[in-house]
Formats: sequence, structure tokens, C-alpha cells
Amino acid sequence: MKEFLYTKGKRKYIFCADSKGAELLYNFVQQAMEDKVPFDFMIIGDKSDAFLEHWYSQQKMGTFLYLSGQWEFIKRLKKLALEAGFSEYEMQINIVGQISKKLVCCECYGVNEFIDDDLHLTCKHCGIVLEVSSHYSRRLEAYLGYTSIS
Amino acid sequence: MHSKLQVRVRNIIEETSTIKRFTLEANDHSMLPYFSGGSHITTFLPYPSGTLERQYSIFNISPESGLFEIAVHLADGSTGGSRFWHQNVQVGDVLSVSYPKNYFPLSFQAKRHVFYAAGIGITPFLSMMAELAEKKSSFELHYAAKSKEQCGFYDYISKTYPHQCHFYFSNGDGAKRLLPTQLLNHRIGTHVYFCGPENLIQDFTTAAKSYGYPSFNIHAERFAPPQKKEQQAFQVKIKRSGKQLDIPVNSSLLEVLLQHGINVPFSCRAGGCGTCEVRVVKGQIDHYDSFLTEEEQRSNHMMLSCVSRGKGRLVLDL
Amino acid sequence: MISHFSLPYPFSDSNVYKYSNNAALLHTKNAIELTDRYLDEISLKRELLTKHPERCYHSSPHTMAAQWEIVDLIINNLVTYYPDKFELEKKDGQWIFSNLLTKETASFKFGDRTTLEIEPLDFIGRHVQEDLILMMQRDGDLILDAGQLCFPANWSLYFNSEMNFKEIHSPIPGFQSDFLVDRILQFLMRIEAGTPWERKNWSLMAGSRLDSSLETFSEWGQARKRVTKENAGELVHFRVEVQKLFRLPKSNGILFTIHSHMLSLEKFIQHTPWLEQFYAILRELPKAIYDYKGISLYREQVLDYLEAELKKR
Repeated sequence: MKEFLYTKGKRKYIFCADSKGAELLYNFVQQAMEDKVPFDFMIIGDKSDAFLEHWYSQQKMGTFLYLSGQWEFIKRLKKLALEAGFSEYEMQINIVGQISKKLVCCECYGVNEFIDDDLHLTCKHCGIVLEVSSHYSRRLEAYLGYTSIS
Repeated sequence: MHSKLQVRVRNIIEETSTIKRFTLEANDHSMLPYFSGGSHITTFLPYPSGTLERQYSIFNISPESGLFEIAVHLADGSTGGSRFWHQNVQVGDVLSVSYPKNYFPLSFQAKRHVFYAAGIGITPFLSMMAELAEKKSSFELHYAAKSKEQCGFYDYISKTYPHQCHFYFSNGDGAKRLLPTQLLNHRIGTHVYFCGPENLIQDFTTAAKSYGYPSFNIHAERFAPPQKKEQQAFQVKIKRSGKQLDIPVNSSLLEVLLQHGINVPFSCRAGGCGTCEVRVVKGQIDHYDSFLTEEEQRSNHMMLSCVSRGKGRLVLDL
Repeated sequence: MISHFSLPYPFSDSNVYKYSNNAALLHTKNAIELTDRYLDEISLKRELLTKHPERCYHSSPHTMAAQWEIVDLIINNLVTYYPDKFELEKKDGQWIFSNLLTKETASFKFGDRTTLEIEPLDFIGRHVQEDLILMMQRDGDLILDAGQLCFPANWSLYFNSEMNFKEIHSPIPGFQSDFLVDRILQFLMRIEAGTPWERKNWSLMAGSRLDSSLETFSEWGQARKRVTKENAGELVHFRVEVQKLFRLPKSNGILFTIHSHMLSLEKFIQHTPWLEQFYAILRELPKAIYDYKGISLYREQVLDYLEAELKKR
């Protein structure tokens, strides 16, 4: 993942965080104030998808988006931002805490959860042993689990 | 290496006093290939001194499919392609053209597309707007010209896309200028496309970047300058062995390297696959390949040994 | 009997195999080739598509126009190069396509998805031996947006769908791969309409299954353990994938047609120059490449077999 840095030269910044991710954004807010660049800062709380999508889609080109928070929060907001028109070149994310990763079984396509240190796991759907790979699919939001013949 | 199409000039229309539209059909009465929005063709014009290659955006606003149309602006003092098209080409003439190529494609991710054109720079947008209209995608056009009379395709565009187009005429009463500050109005997810004189492309690109647009969202059309076709003999020095080799006019660098036991991997021998790339330490390169990017060609550090050549002497990192 | 001449030979005159782009211009601009295995392979494909649709077919919704372009290209190739086997009649946008080998006729309105029972790419793929992969060029990248894949060499269409070119090739181990993957991507994105290309990939296969999908590896991969010097000639097969690459000018996508050919080693080496060259290449092959090609477990056995055969000549 890219380092979480302040990107200069934008017209406007939007800072979105959950309660866990807000602190990391304070320096950036400070920087935006010093640079006299307009910004919105919002702790998202229980804002609806419809509200967020509308808010995002009303932004003008040149806006840069920062998301900071826990994995589920980031996933939700990133998806809404992409749908509104932000691209990966117009946002940065910072994940607080653990990321739960998914592994797709190469035989039955069943999805398993795993954590970073796992090298192997047994597919909970079909029972075969899977080797965790670094081959990742954005469509499935999952890594590929290979089987071996040994 | 590349296949060519034989086309016949079916129709010539004067769009303005300086712009002519040429409708081209396949010489064998088949359909010409389809093309995507933003595509161009290379036309091969028979000149007494040799073939002149010129690129033009293609579109088809005629009611029939399977045709190519190009629009050519006669520039003041033109000595090249545009004068040839305006003065020499007649209905019924047969010419060679390339298959369509697209170096100016529409963004797939874009939520909306905004086109900025000045003068003859309108041409790539004719096919792009047609493609977007067919897909029911969102777009707008900002089009600058000297006057309504000098504005090519004014009637067609204003009739076909009445809600999407904005005209800017610099002459006469109520002159309206097309300014880069217009870029401030676009919502997130917009991709902008510029085509026209170099200073328009420069000004709008600079402005977009200063407003914080990512380069990813900025697109501009530039045609590569025509290639020289005359080949010269040249020399190379092999850096590691210090060996000097002569490459005669009728041999390629690759052939000479292989003859001297220097085993450069190769495949297509036509400048298209990139396998026979060699690194160049010193010297000026004449690139004839269709593989390296313009930037890579300009860097002067690499060449495809099957087609490209040196000016004078090159030192190769081999 | 199938002789070695039915196999497209993948090596140039060098005895050292280098993993490279190795593309060449396709002079006969035919995307499709029919071999004497046509009917067998077509029926195997259809069986796999019926039993394992998720494994063998995938498409993104925005590929429909490109799929029709593929139908146009392939049908035109079929009737041009095999006029005694395929026929096409066009009447007011209605296409009547006849396959005289399978004795089937399909009638549909070109461009109208509702006039076919299955998607256009799936439809036309069932008439050819080739696997068909569509990569759309979008936002400066190539994305695997649709494919009909029955005979993969140990990869998964389900998993790789909608990946970009680099993501697809990320598992290739470290042999200067980043540079090479970039170069091949650059090559693919510059393919022009009217100028198709061809690439040949080779590998070895313990067994003779064409449908060596990643999903079924635990079945067919077992044979790798059974290879001996004595049975290698019969058990191990030389596999060549002929990839043909076409720019689709309207959708600006790239069509890959992939024809997989297989021949047992004992037939392959009947031709002595092939035996000699392949032995030399396999002996010198870097470990990273034979690991990648899945040969590691039985490379020694195959080398022993080839060496013994060489001594007999």
C-alpha cells in the first residue's frame, strides 16, 4: 500500500474518518488550513449511503479524498466514492487495525477468511488443503488458494 | 509491414471556405472496417518526390455505414498534405490508407466526458460523440472558432447534439472566448479531452493540472510527425568487445549483429514485437519501429535493431 | 495416425530457450484452424461448458458489442478459409450460419442478443477448437473482460476474469518478469487492426488431457508423479498453444484465439531434429522456467528418456 501522505496542489480536500481513524488526519487538516485550501472534515458516524454518494458526486474535479478508519468502513466509503466518480488517483486510504482477507478455493470457489501469517488453510466448504498465494482478484476481493499434489 | 486499404474518394464537400470533407469508400465495394471513437488513419499521398504520410481523424456522419470520412483544413502557406488534399484530390481518385488506429480513445471509467476543440481540432470528437451518443453516455462539447461561418460542422453538431454543445466565436459582435477557467466547473469523474492548436492544448493541460486534475483524467490528441523513409549506412561500436561494425544501407542492424555472432533475441523483424531491443549508450537513433513509446524513442537509450538505424555512429550496450 | 507434422513447432533455430515475447506477424490472417480432431474437441468443449459453465465462460456486461465483432470476425474466417465446411447467408440483418461438419444451422439477427440462446462469444466458441479470450483496452490497460476457456494450461478463467494484464501475470516467478510483462503489454496495446500476430507457447504435460484447468489440478496433476524414463514417451505430452492476436477495430479490444495442440513425446521425437533440439533446450532450461511450466517433478525422467532415444539414432 502507498504511504499515507498529504498530496499538495488540489483545489479542495475531503477528510472522512470513523472514530478510530480521525486522529491520523489532524496533521493533514492543519496543512490544508495553512495552505488556505478549502476542506470538509467529517466523522461519518451513521450517515447513510445515499447521503454520502450524493455528497461525493457533487464535488468538483480537483478534489482529493482521504479515508481513514477500520477495514469495513474503508471498504464501504471507497466503494461509494468510486461510484460517485472518484478514481484511485483522487483518493488515499489509511486502514486502522486488522484487515480480514479472503481466500478463494481453486476447486469449489468457496470463500475462506484468513490472516496474514497463514500459509495454508483447509477450505471450510470442500475440505481440501489450500496454499495461500499472493495472486489477488479485485473482482472477487480475494486471493487465490492453490491445491498441491503432494 | 502493415496492411493497407485501397479507398476511392466518393464525395467531397466544402464545409467552410478552408475545410473540405472527403468521404472514402472501399475500392472493392466492400465495407471499410469499423473504428472506435477517436480513431485516425494514415493516408499515403503520391508525391513526385515519394509518398507523403499524413494522419487524419476519421468519422462517419454520412447516413451509410462502412465508410471513412476525414476533414482537411487548408492552412495558410501549407506545402504538404492539406494542400494536396485540397488541390489535387478529385472524386473517383483511388488512394492507399492504413487501417484505423486509436491513440485517443475514450476513457472507460469516466462518468462524463468533456471535449474542448478549436478549429479543425473538432474532427476526433465527431466519432467520439457518435460513440457516446450510441451508448447513451454523458458528454459535452466546448468548440471555439473564428465565426459561425468558419466553424466546421456547425449545422451538423448543433442539430445532432443540441443540448451538449457550446460554441465560442471570437470574431464579430458578442464575441465569446473559450477560457481554461471553464475547467473549474466539472464535477468529479469528468475526463477532459483537448484537440486544436498546440497552445490550446498547452494552456488547458496546464490549467487542468493546476486545478488538481490527475493526469489520468486529461487527454490530448497529437499526431506523430511523418517518418523519414530514406535509409543511410551507419556504424556501431559494441561496448564490451570494442568491436566496430558497419551497417550498409540494405542491411538491418539485427542482421549485422547476428552475422557477427552477437545473438540478440528477435522475433517479428518488423519493429512491432519489441524482442530485439538493444540498449544504446551513445549516438543518435532514427526510430522506424511501431513499438516503443514516443518518450522511449526520445530518450535515445534504446532501439529495435530489426528496423531502427543510427545517424553516424552508435555505441551499443552489448 | 497423427504424425509429428500436425504439431506447430514452437522453437526457432536457437538451442537455448529464452522466455520472450516471440511474436511474429500472422501472414494468413485466419484466427481459426481446423484439425482432424475437430469433432472430438468440439464435443468435449460443449460437454465442459454444460457441466462447468462458471469455470469455462465469463463475460462482463459491457462486452456485448465486442462479442458481436468476434462473431463477425470468426464466421468470416470460417467461410473464407473453410468454404466447404461452413456457410453464411445474410438477409436484411438476419444471419444464417451453417456448420456442415456438425450439421447445425443457426439463424439470428446480427447484433441482437435476444435472437441467440447464449451470448455471442459463447455461441461462436462452440464451433471452433480454439479457446477465445477477449481483452478490452480501457484507460491505458488491458482487462480480461470475457472468455470461453475449456483447455487452459493450468489457470483459472473464473479467478482471472476482470484482471488487468499485469495482475494476470503476477504469479510468474522472478525471471526479469516485470520488464518482460511490461514489454508484452506494450506490444499488445499497439496491435493494429488488419495486422494480426501469432505467438507460440510450449510446455510439457504428464497425461494427455486438454482440459488441464487449475480447478482440476489435483486430478490431472497426479500423473506428474508417475513419470519414469520407461513410460515418458507414452505418458508425457508435448503441448503447444498457438495464440493469435487480433485488434477488434470497433470496440478497440484484443481477441486472443488459443489453439492447444498435443502430441505424445514418442511421436514428437520421431522427427530427429526435434528430438535433438528439444533435448538441448530442456537440458539448459533455467529452473525458474521449468518450475513455472510445471515440469520440475519429472524433468530428469524426461531427459533420461530423450538421452536414451538419442543414443539409438
